[in-house]
Amino acid sequence: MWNQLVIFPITNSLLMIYKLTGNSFTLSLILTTIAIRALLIPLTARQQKSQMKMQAMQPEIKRIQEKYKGEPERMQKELQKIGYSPASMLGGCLPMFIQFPILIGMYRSILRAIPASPIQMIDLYQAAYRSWFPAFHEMIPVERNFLWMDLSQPDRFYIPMIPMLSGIGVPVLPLFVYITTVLQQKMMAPPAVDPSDQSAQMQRSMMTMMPLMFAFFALQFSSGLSIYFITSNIVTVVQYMLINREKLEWVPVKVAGVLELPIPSITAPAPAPIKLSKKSEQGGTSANPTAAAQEKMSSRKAKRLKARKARGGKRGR
Amino acid sequence: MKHDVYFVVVAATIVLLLTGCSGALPASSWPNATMVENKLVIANNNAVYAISSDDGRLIWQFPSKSDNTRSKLFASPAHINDSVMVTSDNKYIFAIDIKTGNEMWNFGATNNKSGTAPTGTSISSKLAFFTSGSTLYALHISTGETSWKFESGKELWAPPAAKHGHVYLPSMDHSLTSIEIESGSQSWKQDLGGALADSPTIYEDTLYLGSLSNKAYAIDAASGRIKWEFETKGWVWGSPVVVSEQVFFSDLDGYVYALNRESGRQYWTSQQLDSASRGTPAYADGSIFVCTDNGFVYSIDANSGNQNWSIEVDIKNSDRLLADPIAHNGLVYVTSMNGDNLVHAIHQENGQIAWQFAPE
Repeated sequence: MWNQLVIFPITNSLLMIYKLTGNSFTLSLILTTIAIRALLIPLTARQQKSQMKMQAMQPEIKRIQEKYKGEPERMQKELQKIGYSPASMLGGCLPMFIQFPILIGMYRSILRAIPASPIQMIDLYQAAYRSWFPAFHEMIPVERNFLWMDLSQPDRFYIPMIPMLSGIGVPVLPLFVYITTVLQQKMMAPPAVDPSDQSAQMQRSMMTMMPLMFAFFALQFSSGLSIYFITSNIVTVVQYMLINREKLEWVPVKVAGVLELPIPSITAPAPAPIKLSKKSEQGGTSANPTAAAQEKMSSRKAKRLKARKARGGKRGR
Repeated sequence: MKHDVYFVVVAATIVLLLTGCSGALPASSWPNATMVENKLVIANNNAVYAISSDDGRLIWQFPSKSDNTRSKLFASPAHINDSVMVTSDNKYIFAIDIKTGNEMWNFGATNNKSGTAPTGTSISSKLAFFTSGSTLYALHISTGETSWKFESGKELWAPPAAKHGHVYLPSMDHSLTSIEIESGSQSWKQDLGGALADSPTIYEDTLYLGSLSNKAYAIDAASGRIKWEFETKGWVWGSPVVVSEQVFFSDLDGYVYALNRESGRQYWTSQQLDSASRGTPAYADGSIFVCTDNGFVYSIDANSGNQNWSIEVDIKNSDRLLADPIAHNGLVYVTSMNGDNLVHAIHQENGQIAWQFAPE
């Protein structure tokens, strides 16, 4: 069932695009990944929007947490009233989890589509929709080499000309997988309100472990899978940038504590006014979160927001 | 810390799903066997076994202890004088003493970094032919030293067939090449329009082979001219078997064919079997024996194409029988990939299991 519903359609799509792109399996992988990500847009866009909402709530959440420090039950109630739940803090990593079944399907489809061994060749014969490919035999063997890579094998770049390094394979694609995963996560994860909070700890843990985990997969499995990871990460970043194009700001971020790269970051937008209970209104803090958020913004940004409001919320030319 | 453990568990689960479910990493091919006098020599992943063809008793095992450099010993062993040669798909060939199972020499091809398809060995009077990646090596049988090398355009998934002072090399680049054994130089090259994944069968002055393009061919060994071609329903992977005036082969759609070897005229096509039949059929006493990907062995009447009997060798496991069956002394020997037993010996007459062999 899994084969018929997931593996065979992906395998045949890969082969069809391979044929249409003049026998380039790398291009086929990239285009198939983009197509899969496009199919997931309704899911991921909703997720990204909910993350943005979470970011907008940050000042208010912090205020409630400070105010009801000794009353956890009350704090929970007040947080719920403004629509916050700790589980939603994990939102930054949820698209990653959604990827797993697709990732497994993709991995198995890649191996089927570029058979490097006799068993895989027989599996491909059984998976291929031969009515789609009248001259299927002309496509066999599927070209699985690209630059220095054999897409069916884990990526290792063997440095030529230097005899001392001739036996050392540099995992180029796994490094790119690590870098793009870190960038994607840093960009999308909402800032934690309370660093000692359990959900914030979990988020930090995910931010460290997820890129390492994906880099480990890339190191162990076929380089075709690495191309899928890299393309998928880039598409996610681009999609996030497009959704939030009005609030983008480039912020330098350190990757692995060494490499500093500018990544697009979202400026916290002004949230809609939240109706608080009477008691919380008496707490002395501003009942208008828009004003609170605005105070934290740079004066330039506040001016920009004001100007936009004056234009009726529409973006200038 | 708890969360780190949690993620390690998640990562391990995904790795298991990726590897375990795919079945791609554990095995790249299937076990293959060769009959040497009354010994059945089977190459299976990390070991070669010699067992008695009479009762399945283990005679020797190579290597006696596990050794990673010798893993993936899948291809059919080749026999010459007092040795058998086995290849591993990570670029090695080993010459093993047929009596003791001790290693005589080995050779490693340094050009092949990844190592994928396991190919067998073929032998002329002085040289053993071994392929690694896209290179054919001609090695001296007694020492393992290289006599010459030949580069093909694409990967080589099968050893060449040797006769008439030439080797006939099938390649995944769709071509069949004739090479002089003495010099290693090319005599002719024929493009057959489909990948060639198994060796040609040489009968008199003709080469018979199938291709992964739904075709079987008869080719003149001297010139490379196509004598006839026959269109099949599926890919023809295994080598054809020639018996007197008939040539038999099977395809990956599960059909068995009998043709006239001179003209290519069809005698019969069998009913479709349960699944793909990859291997070279075996012939004995008027019957053709084939096995299938779903774990069945069939006996088919060579004259009519009618089925004599069939047997599923291992009902409880999803066994895959992709190797060439061997017919010898009233028994058919099949090697299996996934089952509890590595070898099944079946009576040719009635399809009853005679004995089975499982490595310890």
